[in-house]
Amino acid sequence: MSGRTIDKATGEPLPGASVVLLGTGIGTESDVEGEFSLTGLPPGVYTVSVSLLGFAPHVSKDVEVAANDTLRLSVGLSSTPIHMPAIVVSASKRARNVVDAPTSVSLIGSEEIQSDNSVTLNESLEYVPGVNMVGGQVNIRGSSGYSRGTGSRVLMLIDGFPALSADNGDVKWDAIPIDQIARVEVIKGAGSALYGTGALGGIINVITRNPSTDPETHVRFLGGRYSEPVHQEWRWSSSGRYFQGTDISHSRQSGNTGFILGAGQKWTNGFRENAWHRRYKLFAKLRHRFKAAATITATSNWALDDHGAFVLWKDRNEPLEVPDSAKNDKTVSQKLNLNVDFYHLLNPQTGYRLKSFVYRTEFDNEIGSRTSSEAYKIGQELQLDLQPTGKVALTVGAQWIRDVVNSSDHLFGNHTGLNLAAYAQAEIEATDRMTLSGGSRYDRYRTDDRAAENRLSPKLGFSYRPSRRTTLRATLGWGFRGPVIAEIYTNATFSAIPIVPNTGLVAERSISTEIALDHRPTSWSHVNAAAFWSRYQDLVEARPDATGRVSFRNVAMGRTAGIETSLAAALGPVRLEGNYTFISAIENLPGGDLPLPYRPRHIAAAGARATSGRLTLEGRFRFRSRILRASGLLPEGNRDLIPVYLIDLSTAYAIGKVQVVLKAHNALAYNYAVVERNLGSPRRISLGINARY
Amino acid sequence: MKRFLPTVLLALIACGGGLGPGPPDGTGIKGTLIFNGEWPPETDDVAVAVYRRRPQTLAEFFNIAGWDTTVTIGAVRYEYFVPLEEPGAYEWIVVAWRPRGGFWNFESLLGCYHVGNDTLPTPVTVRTGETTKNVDIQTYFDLVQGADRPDRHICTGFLPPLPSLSGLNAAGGNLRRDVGTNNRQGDR
Repeated sequence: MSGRTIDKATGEPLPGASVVLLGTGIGTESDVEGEFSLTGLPPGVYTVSVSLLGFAPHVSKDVEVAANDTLRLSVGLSSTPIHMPAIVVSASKRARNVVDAPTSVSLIGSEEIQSDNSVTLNESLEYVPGVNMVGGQVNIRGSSGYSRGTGSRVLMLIDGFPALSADNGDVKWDAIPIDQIARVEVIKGAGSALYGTGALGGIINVITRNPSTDPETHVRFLGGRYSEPVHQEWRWSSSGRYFQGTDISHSRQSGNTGFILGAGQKWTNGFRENAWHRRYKLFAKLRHRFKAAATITATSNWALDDHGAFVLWKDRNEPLEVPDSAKNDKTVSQKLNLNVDFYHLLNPQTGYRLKSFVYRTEFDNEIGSRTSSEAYKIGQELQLDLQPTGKVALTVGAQWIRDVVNSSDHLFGNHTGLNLAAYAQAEIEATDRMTLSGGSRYDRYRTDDRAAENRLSPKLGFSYRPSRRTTLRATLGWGFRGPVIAEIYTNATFSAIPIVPNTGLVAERSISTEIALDHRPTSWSHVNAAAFWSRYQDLVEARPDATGRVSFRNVAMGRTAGIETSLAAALGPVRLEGNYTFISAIENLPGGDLPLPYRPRHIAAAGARATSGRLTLEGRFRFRSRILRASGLLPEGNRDLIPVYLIDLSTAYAIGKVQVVLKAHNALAYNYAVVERNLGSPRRISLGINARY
Repeated sequence: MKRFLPTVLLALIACGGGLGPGPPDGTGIKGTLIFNGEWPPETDDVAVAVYRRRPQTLAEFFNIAGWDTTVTIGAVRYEYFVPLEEPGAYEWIVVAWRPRGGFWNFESLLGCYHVGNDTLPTPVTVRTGETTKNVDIQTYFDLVQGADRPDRHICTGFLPPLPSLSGLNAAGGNLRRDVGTNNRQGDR
């Protein structure tokens, strides 16, 4: 199959358009002439999706490819004033139309990350509806609290491969190759039916870009300065506080093989004491397309982070300084992942995928005492995609994951874990307007010689399109998260808080449901609304006992419920966006209900962007209501966790293939703390330069 | 959302809003009390008391330079602050426990400030107008039940022997009962 993508209005070629055979793992991008080709396809009937930012996606059904023949397609795309995402792969573990996805999905495009001048991805996630970051820990619709990153209740994936560490079960934000991101898919609600442990509250899948068809070099520079504290009493350093980073990568294709090689470094002296870091990273992606509709992709990513440790502020009146005893605290960490993905389309109805991965994390802490840990997450997954009829799609698979942790005795010790799983999901187009989906996953996992746990995680979905512009969706899913090694075995003292092991921990479980409406009343507006409810059992929280020692325990029963709404509209050159989420998060205790810790009741964001020629102006506002309850481990409780109001202002100017972004983050220098004794970032002015040649 | 509107507007027009410095603590000592063990149900009050000198007589025991009596009963940790009128060195910083219906008593101490390998309470220096911070104190409830742990000897081992109960009733009398075998006397 070959073809050309053009602008329907002007007839001009459209480079960079994504061409995907829906339901399969086959896809490519158009080159500078708008040309694309997919060779070696088995003969048969396909559904072809073509999409590009700024244009309405185009789907061609019943595209027939004959044996030993090349089908020629010409696809005209119509420009659209608002962003219309087309393809999502995380909701069903296969490429499909986002409107058919069996669960709520939000997407962040690479252009948004670029114009955000984000140092790490978590900064861009703050604006996603229903998502809230608490001290670097991601929280979707109130599923998570804050436990210093340990035991994320959101499963982080990079290209569908696990990216939670084997010891802490946390997201290493510095290890996510932010300059290589094509898009980020945020799946909301329990997702264990396909993904197993960790997907209790949702999934974030970072999709990295593929090697470009034409040779391309990408340079990204980001630098800037933190403002001095507004309050004279808080000033602690006579020198300016700066940050800078540079990423460079090159991508090209030769025949059926393409690659990306990238390197980068980042540095800051930190807006607060002991918040300095030096980071280095390397990225490599190799993709080879075999003649027989088979593709192998190998991706490797390495990151080194040498940074000071700011755990708690010294004092409310010296919030940018650490206690005298912590001035030399630091951590050196390394992350390395190697992911290999082999996909083979046997015929239009059958394809299989084999994934193999190793994710190694290592850190050496000098926080109080010296502790270290080296952890491996190793595994494989075999997935079979079947389409017995044009109306039915089946996804079945099996996976094993082994965790190996070697740590100092006074931290975690040495431990291993094994997770075996099998899953199946069916999606049925009951009518032209209705899609039903259902599936389940069985997981068996065990850590050391603790009793094995067995979990069955079913999911049911329903999607109905009463009109071309409207989709109604309902889902019901079960989720679980097995305790990570750090939660079971930590034996250490942090900030004078002694943490002791609890080998009796069991998995925390959830059942979640949502009803959602997606509506495009006009070509320039988009409305989304969802009502959600989740019930949690055996939530793992770090709690003190009567002797003052803290351990992770299955203490909480709880539920979250709420609504999430978002609106986008384009009025001429001005694009408006807004979202609001209400979350009622309750912990059921014997003496009565309390708010679940670290969950705000209200999250909102709004933004306006105006474009005129090469110039773009943008303003964004973000709000998060007061945290009603904190951990209880510190005497001041939630005293300082006030509501958050942040305004970002930016301007971007494009000169040929170079885009320059000047941005004021937290432009009004609002002072806030999201977790106890941690002041949020002050105003920072950043300059981002992105060049592609 | 209506009740958030005024705050939103305030945030929009104000620069540097949100958290701000609290009133200066002034001359004094602050730190965190870390409570080890279960709170006795008969607990009525817990206080932090700061002394210029380690007391040698009962009268000196009640000659307190400053105190914090706002400790939260049942807390695992408590951040205390003791305001002081005078700068200088303070030799004895203790956490005292009082049972329901009882009185403050030097025998019902939960702990005192000491660091490293010090075998006596560690003195703390306070400067005029400044707060000496991070004076954190580990406390143990089992001390009031007679547990023989090192903190008992560090915090009260320097006290002179208490010859008889009647001595307690005489202001200026000797202070100490025999609380252990490893007692120390004299200064460091």
